[in-house]
Amino acid sequence: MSSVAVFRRPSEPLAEDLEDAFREHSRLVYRTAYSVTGSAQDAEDVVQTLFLQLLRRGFPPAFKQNPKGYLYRAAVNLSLNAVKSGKRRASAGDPEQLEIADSRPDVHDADAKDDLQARLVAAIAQLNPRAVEMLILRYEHDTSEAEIGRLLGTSRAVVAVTLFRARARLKKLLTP
Amino acid sequence: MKPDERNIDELLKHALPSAPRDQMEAALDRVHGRLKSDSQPRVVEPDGSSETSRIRSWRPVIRVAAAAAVVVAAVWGAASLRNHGVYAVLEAADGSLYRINDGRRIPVHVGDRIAAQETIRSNDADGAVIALADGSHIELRSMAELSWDHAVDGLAIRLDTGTIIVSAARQSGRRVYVRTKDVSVALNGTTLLVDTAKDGSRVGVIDGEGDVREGKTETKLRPGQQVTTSVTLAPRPLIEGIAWSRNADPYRRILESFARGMAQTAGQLQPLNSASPAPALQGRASAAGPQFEEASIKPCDPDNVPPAPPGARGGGANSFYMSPGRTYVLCMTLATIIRTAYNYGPYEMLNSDTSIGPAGRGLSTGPVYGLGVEDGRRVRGGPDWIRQERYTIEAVAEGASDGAAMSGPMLRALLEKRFRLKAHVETEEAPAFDLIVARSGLKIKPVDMSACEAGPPPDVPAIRIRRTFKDVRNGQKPNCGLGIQANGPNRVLVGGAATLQGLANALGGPLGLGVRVFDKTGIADRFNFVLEVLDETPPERRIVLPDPDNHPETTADVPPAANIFSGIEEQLGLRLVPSKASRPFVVIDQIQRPSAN
Repeated sequence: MSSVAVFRRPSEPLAEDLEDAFREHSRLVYRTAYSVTGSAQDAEDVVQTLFLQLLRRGFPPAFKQNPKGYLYRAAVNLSLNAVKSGKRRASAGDPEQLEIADSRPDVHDADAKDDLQARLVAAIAQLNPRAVEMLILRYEHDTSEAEIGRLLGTSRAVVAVTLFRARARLKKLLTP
Repeated sequence: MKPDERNIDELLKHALPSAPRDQMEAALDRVHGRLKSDSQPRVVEPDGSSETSRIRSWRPVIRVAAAAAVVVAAVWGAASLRNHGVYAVLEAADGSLYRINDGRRIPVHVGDRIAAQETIRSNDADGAVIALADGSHIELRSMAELSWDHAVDGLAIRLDTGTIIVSAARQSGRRVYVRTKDVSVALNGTTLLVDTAKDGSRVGVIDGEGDVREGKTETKLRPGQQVTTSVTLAPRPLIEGIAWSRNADPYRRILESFARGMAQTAGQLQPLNSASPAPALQGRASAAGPQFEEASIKPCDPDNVPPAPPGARGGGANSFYMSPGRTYVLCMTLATIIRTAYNYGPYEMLNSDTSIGPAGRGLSTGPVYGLGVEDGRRVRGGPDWIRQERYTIEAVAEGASDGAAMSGPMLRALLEKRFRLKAHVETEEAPAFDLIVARSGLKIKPVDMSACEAGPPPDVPAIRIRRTFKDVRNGQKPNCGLGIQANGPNRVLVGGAATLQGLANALGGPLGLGVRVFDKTGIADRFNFVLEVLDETPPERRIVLPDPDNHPETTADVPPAANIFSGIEEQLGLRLVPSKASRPFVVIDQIQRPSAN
């Protein structure tokens, strides 16, 4: 052997396949993670963690069968973990830039959407992961119930019922 | 669909967080770059040490397995990916930026990573902005050459030649160092200009504080102050030195405001009177009042903020939350806690007059307040650590004390007891503006409350569909009150049956003036309006606002609107004229680190 040994990780997947998967699905993963966590930082972490796992561990059988469905489900699960870990910062970037302190209702209205989003994120994190998968597909990715069923390997009726129950649960969670 | 379900459906359609495209693409580029680095072959030296090879391709070229080294590399990769400061990224460039490798110039493109110790040079015509992973930014003027590297407690920027402006992120226990051949500056939450040439170096602070070391001499610089290392460097006003910057206007405003004495330290300001105008604000006065029964005070790392307390959604560093009988201070500097305890908020307009804002009403239980970081205007004196070290406090009162008591006198009593705080209040004259009717007359018409869209009653889930400024311009009713949105480079203030007093408050704070604005119109009517003005807030004080489009491609073409002074006159028929306001501030007489819980 020469004086310098060069090595690579022996495991699959081949890098080109991963590159293809990243190019094709990373936006889906990021948008999904962003919708579940409400945080750019967490969304970036989810994308990185997910593809790093694929790089290091190779493609699992479930990925080979349905790459989009696998990545989507993994994205939802990792995002829910991120929300539940409670370690999210207030926002991406410098938190000091993002904060408005004002108790008056009129000016506070400017933050109403952010506050509502934060409450919605917290409520969604309490749902069943399967329901979250369907909810995000329906409302963030504008996917039809039939298409959700195909992607997640279930029937349209199950999707419709799960979404109905998820909305009802959200209503309960968001009602003061 | 059932009626109550429709609300949730609407809520999900409108309020589900949706990733801004430019942010997403930038994030994916970063992740792609890291994955690419992680997939590179590692070169193992015979003695067992390893180093990362230069990036050559996505696919490794030689397949020689070395399991132990793989583990080491994977651990290194995972750790380094999440570590601070492992890379820098070219964020913007007017022209060309090059990395210098063996004397060759290799172009760097926007989004490219810049590794530690790589020498970077801007060309002879244009500048560039580099973002560091810790949130700091370096703006290079043309013909600047620098590199960055890790330091024991942060990052170090080595400026070989040229001029840069560094905006160092505020970090706990970490600093950004800027070094030239003859001077070194330590920064934390500081913006400063560094210029180095053959004869010597010049350092000038724009915002924050910088510790300058030249040989054995150490100097603390504050905004507007500068030092040079050579007598041959002609003195030059700092404002002239920053004229080339893309943020020249915001920087100029900061320097001008500091020059007017708005935010200098107590020693450099002349208090109007040294005695406290309000005995209730005196630190000692609170000792006999209501007090917390129990309190836990812990040092806090802002990079590892504990979870928000139950019910306090959305909290983060610098947040303040109270429920009846309980107070949570989440990872705030002691100076900010003191400011809060004295009922001074982050915005001048809220607090210089006790008739409005927290100074008059106190904070209330329920909302999570983001209180920012005390910037030296409201709390003066005391050791540096009160502005650097952060604390998380959880305090419990006997009975259900209200927010005004807990955030004011009770918090002051706690600080006196645990931090041995002694302080007094002084006042100074601060710049302000008066809002008056322009000579051309008011251009908006009074309305009643039916002209705006009221929110849902409190017992209904908060499914309030926000009317955007575009909706209002298209003839829909605005939401009642005031709301601010972004529109490309502009900020849009939408008023729904809003008073001019409310407008004045918004102009002073969220809309960007940062000083108190007095409503001197004498008009008590309510108005609907849409005011769009250029966002000239300094980057470090900029607040992220909701953008109704949320797609950069739809807002990229939005032309810059008039500035706040012209805009308010052209669009509303109002004027802002300079005036003065009295502003109190707290002077620390004595303080020490907290006693054990």
